[in-house]
Amino acid sequence: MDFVMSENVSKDLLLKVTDLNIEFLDRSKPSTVVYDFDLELRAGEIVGLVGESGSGKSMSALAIAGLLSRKDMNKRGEILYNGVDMLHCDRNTLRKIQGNEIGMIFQEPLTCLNPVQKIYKQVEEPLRIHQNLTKEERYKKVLEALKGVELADPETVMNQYPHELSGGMRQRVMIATAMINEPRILIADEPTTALDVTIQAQIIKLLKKLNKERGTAILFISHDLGLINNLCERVLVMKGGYIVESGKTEDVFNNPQKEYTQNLIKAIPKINI
Amino acid sequence: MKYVLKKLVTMIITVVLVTFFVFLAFNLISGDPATSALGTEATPERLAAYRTQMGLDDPVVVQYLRWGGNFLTGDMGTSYSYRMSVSSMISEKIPVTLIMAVMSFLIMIVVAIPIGIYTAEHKDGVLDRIITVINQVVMAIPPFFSGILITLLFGQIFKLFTPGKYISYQDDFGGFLGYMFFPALAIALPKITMAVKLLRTSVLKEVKNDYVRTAYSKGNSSRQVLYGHVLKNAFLPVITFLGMCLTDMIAGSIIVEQVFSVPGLGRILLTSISNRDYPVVMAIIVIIACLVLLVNMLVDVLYGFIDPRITPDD
Repeated sequence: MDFVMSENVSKDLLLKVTDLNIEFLDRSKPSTVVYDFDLELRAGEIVGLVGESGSGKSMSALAIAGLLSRKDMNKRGEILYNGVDMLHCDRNTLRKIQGNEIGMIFQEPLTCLNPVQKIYKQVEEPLRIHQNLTKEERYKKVLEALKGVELADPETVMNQYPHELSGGMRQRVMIATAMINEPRILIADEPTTALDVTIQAQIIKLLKKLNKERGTAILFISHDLGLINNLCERVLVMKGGYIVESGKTEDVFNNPQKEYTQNLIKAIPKINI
Repeated sequence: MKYVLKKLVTMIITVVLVTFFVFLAFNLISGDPATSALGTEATPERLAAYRTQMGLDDPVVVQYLRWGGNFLTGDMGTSYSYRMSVSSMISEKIPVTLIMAVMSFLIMIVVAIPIGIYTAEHKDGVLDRIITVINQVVMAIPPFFSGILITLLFGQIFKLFTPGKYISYQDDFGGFLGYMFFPALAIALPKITMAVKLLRTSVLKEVKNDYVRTAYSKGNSSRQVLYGHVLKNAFLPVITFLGMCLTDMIAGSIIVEQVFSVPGLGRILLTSISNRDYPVVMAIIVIIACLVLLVNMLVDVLYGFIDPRITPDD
């Protein structure tokens, strides 16, 4: 019995980050931004990564997405996905995972889209890179993806440029792009920070839906513990490059061990009418 | 389409304004045409009759319209010094100057764009550093001096062309192009250095943008990111500069024409200015101004095609 269970667990394990350390070398004194970061992400779960600006949460997320390629930094540890150490493998191996198995969305949906390219081309791009499809098949998939993120008029949107869309629509386009190859993991780096509160709620609802319908695991990065509480089953709290607390969101919320976490919880605005 | 039309209308209005002011300026500085035509001994009655006959008593605007109408039909007046029609004097020079400008423009594009992209792609590499140093040096050399150096190097040492032996395009078009390559190169050199520097800076600035990170997150290779995303954005500021270069090459090749004894518009402009041959000077200025405006409009239109944020719907 025990054996079967442990096999199940390891089967479900998508991503395992061990002892991730990131150090910048571009100043006279090297500065470490992430220390001993550990993370396990299982199929279909939503894990939150919370902390103030500069706590190292975005750096960790970029490392997991394979987007830290600067030469002036030192990376140690291991990011294991499907038997591949994404931290140290070559670019070509990494590229097969990026946009295909792991999708990523970012904070600023306007600047994250290419300003001189139509939406269709940008959403279609991961398909062209990772799959061998005919033009018609690609068109169908793009249309589906745009419908999947609940864009009202996908046929119009695909022929528009990013500056013609609203912030919420742009983030939906970003999500459609990241999800078009049905990745197993979606990394969402503060995807709602630049949006209005109402739009924010819609995007969170959409992420929940995608997670439920397609079983995509989501690593959700935010400084907003309220959002994390609403969305994530598990949470990691980061401060100054360290994970200071982690566990089930419920437990962390109801019984925070560290003073920092307690302060973060206190910082959630409560509306009393 | 609406955008193109709008730019076209703007250009026509500018052409009218520019030519009007040129006309006005030459009317003011050239003194009394009646006196200069009939001499200082002419009687007031004869002067008055000449003025009426030539329409010199009409309001300036009417005179301008008459002159403009004539100009459009190819009648650009008569040269004071040569007593021949201005149009016959300059019609053969226009292709010379234009071809030289277009050639130097093509040389600039063919050389500057690959080097600019290469140096940006291999920032701080050995070749990038070498090119940057060469760039700084060449940038400091004015075209007339690089013209002299080119004459010395390619004309005297390598004997690729005979300095000063201009080949007319009517006689031997191939030989003409071969000869014109060298003045065109002299004009292009300093522009190449600036274009390389601008393109390199522009690419390096673009790669810092968020959309580049997005492109990588989709699984693009560095080359795909550069050619598929970065370049189109990086070209936007460069296009403005290239347009300015082309106008500069059309309008500002006077000195290089002198160095290489090329009988283009610049050369005849210089002689006409020293001869106070106002009709010729005026015609050349108007033609150059119109060409410059035309190039500017084309750049604007091109810009509108490349950058979707520019095309105004209102």
